Amino acid sequence: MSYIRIKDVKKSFKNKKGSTTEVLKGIDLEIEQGDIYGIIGYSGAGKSTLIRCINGLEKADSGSITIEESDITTLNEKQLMSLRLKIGMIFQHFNLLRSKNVYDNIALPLKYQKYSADRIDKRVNELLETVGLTDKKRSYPSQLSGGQKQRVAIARALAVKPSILLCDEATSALDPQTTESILDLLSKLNKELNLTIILITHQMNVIQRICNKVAVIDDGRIVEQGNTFDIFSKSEKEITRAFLNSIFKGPSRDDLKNYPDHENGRLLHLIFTGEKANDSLITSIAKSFDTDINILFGSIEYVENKPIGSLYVTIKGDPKAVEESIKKLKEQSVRIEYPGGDTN
Amino acid sequence: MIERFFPNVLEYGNDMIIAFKETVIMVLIAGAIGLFTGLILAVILVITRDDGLYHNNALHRILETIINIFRSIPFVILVALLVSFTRFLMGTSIGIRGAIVPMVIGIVPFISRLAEQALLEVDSGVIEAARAMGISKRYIVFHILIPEARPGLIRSFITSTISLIGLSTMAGTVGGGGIGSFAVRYGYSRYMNDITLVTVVILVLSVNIIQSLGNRAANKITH
Repeated sequence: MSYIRIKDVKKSFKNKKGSTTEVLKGIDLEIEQGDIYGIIGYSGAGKSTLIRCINGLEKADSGSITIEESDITTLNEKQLMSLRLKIGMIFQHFNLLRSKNVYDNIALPLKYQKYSADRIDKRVNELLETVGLTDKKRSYPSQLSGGQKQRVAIARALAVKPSILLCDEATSALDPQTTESILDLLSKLNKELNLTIILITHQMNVIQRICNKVAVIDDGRIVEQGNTFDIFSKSEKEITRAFLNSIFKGPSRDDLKNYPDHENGRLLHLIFTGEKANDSLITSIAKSFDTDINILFGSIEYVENKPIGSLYVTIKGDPKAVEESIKKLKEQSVRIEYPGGDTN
Repeated sequence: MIERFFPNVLEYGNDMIIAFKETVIMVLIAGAIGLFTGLILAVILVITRDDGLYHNNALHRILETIINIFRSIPFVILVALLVSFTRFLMGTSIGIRGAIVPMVIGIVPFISRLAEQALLEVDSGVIEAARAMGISKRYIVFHILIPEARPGLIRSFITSTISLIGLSTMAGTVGGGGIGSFAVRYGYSRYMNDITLVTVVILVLSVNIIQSLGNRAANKITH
C-alpha cells in the first residue's frame, strides 16, 4: 500500500450568501515514500485546499486520506496536532514571525514541544547549517531576502524531524534564480533525509526540475498522474500540453494567430521526446518528400533530466507531400500541434 | 513678570499640582484596568470571528453589540448614567474614586476596537503555519498572536491613554476632580484665564510626552 493514499476526497465551501462551491470533486492520489510529488494546476483548481487536507488544516467532506495506514480524516483535533509533527509545511509567503529572529523562529516548534534549551540550541544550529544560514542566526525576517526567508521556513518546518514536507506554492514569490536554489535545497533534503515532498504549484519549471511524480489538477479533479516524464511526453490532455508548452520559449500565442498561414506554408509545433529530440529527422523528411521545412523556433528542455524538444516549423510544398510528411512525423511518434489551426 | 501675567497660577499653584496628580492617578488606574479589559475583549473579538481560531458567531455578535452600544453613548451622559452603579461599586460617585468607573467603561470599547485592529494585522498565514506545526490554539493566542501584534497594540494603547486624559477632564467637570475640574472651576467659572492657559500647556506637553515615549517603545520592538 502506498505511503500516502488519497481516495475520493471531496470538499465544498459555503460562501456568505449560502451557495456552495465544490472545490474538490473526488481526488484520488497515491504517493510513495521518498517521492517529490508535484501537483500542478491553475489558480482556483483546488490545489491549495487539497494540500491542506493532507495535514488536516482543511477537513475533507468525504473520502479518506491514509498516511502510514491511518486515516487522518477520522482524527480529532488532538490527534491531528500530533500527526502534524510528522508533516512539515512551507508557504508561498513564508509566514515567519516578524517579532522573532531567525533562531527563535526555528526554535518555535521545539519550544512548544518542550525541548530542553540545550537540545533546542543544538537542533537549531544543525538546521541553520542544513539550510545555509548560520550567519543570519540573529537577523529578523524583515532583514532577509525572499530566498533566505524560505530557507528559515524550511528549517522551521523540519525542526521536529517530520517525514513529509508540504510545499504550498513555496517558490511562487521568488525570482527564477532563488527558485532554483530553493528547489535544489528541497531536492537535497529529499535525498539526504528520505523526505517525502508534496508540492503544489502553477509553475511548470518547478515540476520539471525536481518532481519524479506529477498530478495535473483542473477544476477540482485530477486530470492525470504518473511519472513526470511520461505524463509530459505522452499526454494527450490539453491542459497538460499547455503546461508543457509553457516551459518552451517560442512565439507568443498572438504572434501565432497573426501568422500568415497560406503564404508561408503550414505552421506546425513539433514536440520530440527522448532520443528523438534532434532535428536530423526534419532534414530527412524534407528530402524524401520534397517539402520545404523552415525552422522558426527551437528549444530543448529537460524533464526529470530527460530531453523534450520543441520546434516551430513551417512546411510548404505539394499538399499531398505535406500530408505525407506530417504522417511520417507522426509515425516517428513526434507529437504535432497546429498552432495556426488544424484543418487547412 | 509671572506675577503680572499669571497671578492666579501663582496663588493656586499648589492646588494645581494636586489636581494634576489626581489626573495622573485617574489615568493610570483607569488606564491599567481599561487596557487589560480592552485587550481581553479584543482577543475574544478576534478569535471568535468567522475565520478565527475559536469561531463563535453568537459570542462575537453579543460582544460587538455591547461594545457598539457603549461607544455610541457620549461620555458626559455615560457618567450621569453610571452614577448609581459607581456609588454601589466605589461607595461614592465623586472624586477620583467616582471618576474611575465611568472612565474605565468609557475607554474599554475604544481600546478593544483599536486593539482588535492591531490583532487583525497579524498575518493569518503565520497562524496557519503555527497550526501546521501542531501547535495548540491556546499557545498560538498567547505566544504568537499577541506577541506578533505588540507594536500595533502599543500604538493603540498610547492613543487610548491620550483619549483617557480627555475623559478624565470631562469626568472632572461632573465632580471627578483632577486638572479638568480645576480648569473649569477656576479658569472658566472665575474667569482666571491664566489658569486655563497653563492647564492647556500642561495637557499639550503631557500628551506629546506620552505619544513620543510610546512611539519609541513601539519602534523598538518593530522588526
